[in-house]
Amino acid sequence: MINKDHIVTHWNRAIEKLTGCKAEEMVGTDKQWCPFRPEKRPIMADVIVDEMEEQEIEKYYGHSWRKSSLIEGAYEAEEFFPQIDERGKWLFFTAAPIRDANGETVGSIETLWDTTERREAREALQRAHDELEEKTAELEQANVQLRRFDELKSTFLANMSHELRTPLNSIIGYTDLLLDRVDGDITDEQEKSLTKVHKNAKHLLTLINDVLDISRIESGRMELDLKPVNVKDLIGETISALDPLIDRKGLVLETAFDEELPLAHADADRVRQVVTNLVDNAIKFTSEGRITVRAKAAERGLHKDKGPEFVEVCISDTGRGIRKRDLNRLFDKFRTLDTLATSQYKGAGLGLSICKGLVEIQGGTIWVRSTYGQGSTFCFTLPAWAEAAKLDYKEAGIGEEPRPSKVAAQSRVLVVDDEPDQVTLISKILGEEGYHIVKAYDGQEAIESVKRSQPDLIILDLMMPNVDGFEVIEYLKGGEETKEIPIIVLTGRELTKKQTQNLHGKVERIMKKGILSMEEILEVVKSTLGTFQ
Amino acid sequence: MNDRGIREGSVKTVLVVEDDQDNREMVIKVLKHNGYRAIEAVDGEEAVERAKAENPDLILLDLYIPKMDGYEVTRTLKGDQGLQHIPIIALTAQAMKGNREEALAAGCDGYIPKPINVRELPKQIEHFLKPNP
Repeated sequence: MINKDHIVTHWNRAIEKLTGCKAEEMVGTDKQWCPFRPEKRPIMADVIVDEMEEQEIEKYYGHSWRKSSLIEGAYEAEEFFPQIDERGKWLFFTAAPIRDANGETVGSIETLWDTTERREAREALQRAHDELEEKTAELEQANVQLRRFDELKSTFLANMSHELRTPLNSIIGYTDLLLDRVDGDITDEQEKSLTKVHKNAKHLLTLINDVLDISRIESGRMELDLKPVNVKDLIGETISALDPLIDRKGLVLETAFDEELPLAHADADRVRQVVTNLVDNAIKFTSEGRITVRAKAAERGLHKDKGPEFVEVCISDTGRGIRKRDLNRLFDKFRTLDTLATSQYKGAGLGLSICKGLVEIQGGTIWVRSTYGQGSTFCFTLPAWAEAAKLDYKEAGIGEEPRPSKVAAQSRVLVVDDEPDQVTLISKILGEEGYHIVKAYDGQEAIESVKRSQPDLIILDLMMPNVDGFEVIEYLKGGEETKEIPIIVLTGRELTKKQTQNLHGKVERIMKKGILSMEEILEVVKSTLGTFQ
Repeated sequence: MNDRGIREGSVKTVLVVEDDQDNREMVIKVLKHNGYRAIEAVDGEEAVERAKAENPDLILLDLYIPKMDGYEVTRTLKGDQGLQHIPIIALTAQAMKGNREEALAAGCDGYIPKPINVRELPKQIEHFLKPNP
């Protein structure tokens, strides 16, 4: 506190502690500036006592001062004082006038707060924030890089597939020619040797195909050609190719089919691969008895009223069976069970994990039951063809189920995803229902495509390079002509609460890739278009 | 010698386009064994040249070939009025589903999945040489 002659009248404990100057050194002097500044300069209390003009205050305090909003006639400021403490301190200070009964200023009281910690915390927070943003940018960069690597890997796989098969093609082909006596007769011994070359080359080809299959499944690059599949016919064809093997071992093969077996929604080649593999295994591990292949309609608990949603195929044998402890790891990669790891049953141990992968990417499940010594049963399911979609019409009371193509033909659907497989898959399914499909592989392309093709519905991925799904949504919702187009988000990522809130009201549905079956997606597309037309 | 290739009095000519020498010679061997006349090309440019010069009855075309790939060769030949009647059979890698569709989209008349089965090949070729009903 100072009086109107700028003499210090009070210097309290707090300020003693802050400045290190004792009250006895200060009181009665005009050295109030001295703990704060290297040379004499008015402190805020002096400014008040002198009733300085604003311009003059600015000379000392620049733009860091302002009139207090709490105390009438008081000024406040915050500044850094390098000479206080070793490291300097940030101080916030307020000086208020002391007035006599006539309203004359007779002194000023100034209060100081040490704001160093608060400021440092704020700065640290800012730094952390900046760092976080930097890290996010780095991660995004890394993500882009990963995608690029993934693409490289796929290209590598495709090339390798070609490179490995080409010489193998020659080996198998020339062996065939020799065995067929195209170049003249061969001896029995030569034939035996050539048969061995042939058998091993074929085996190598199987291994290469298996490794490529498992890589494709794992990288999500397995291309599926999903169509209605008549499982009964497919099983019939597949096992007839295995007849010679069954005859040779003296086994009996039986089949049993439900009378009203629904069509499966699947890739016929891939189902054939699974059935071949499972029946082949059954033959391999059964020395006498029978192999039974059954197919039936299977319900799923949740939608009992909707009829069969899956086709279930089971392959049973009367072979050696599998020990309980081995059952769990049966579908693991590169796993040939120790008990079976004899040359008689050689393989890369990929067969069952490929089966599992193939069944699962088609939307089914696979499992095994076995009693050691008595035989095994392998079962898998495949989604039934468009059962759900058909039932929707009936439930809606439309009566006669309209031809899907007629309903859908008027609708244009834009499918946007940077993963071509995903685009192909969705396009295929919607295309078969008669929708007109427009494809785009990134956000920029999507925006251009919307302008060009004026779709009735957009199915949009969020995570895409360059322009992502969020930006596409912002852009479209901001455009007079595009803001009414319904958008269904199909994302592979968990969204944060904020992202979900942000999308709320802008998109019709947010769906997770992989969780929904294709029928469910189809259903959502139909109901969304229904609402909007 | 088999007489598949000389059924209607004249020997049919098949152009084999394949950059891998062993595979190419193998296919040629099968063709000759079955009574066809076989001519060869090792890359896309040569394929187009030989097709123009020799007007073959059928082209067996590997899709991964140097200089001009199989798709490009197909588009070039199918865009040429004098050559577009020649059936082109793509030799496609079996596991690459997209290849088949792309091959057909480019204008190929059919495809034979690789690896080539030398025992099946004569039947497959004969099938494509049959005039369409």
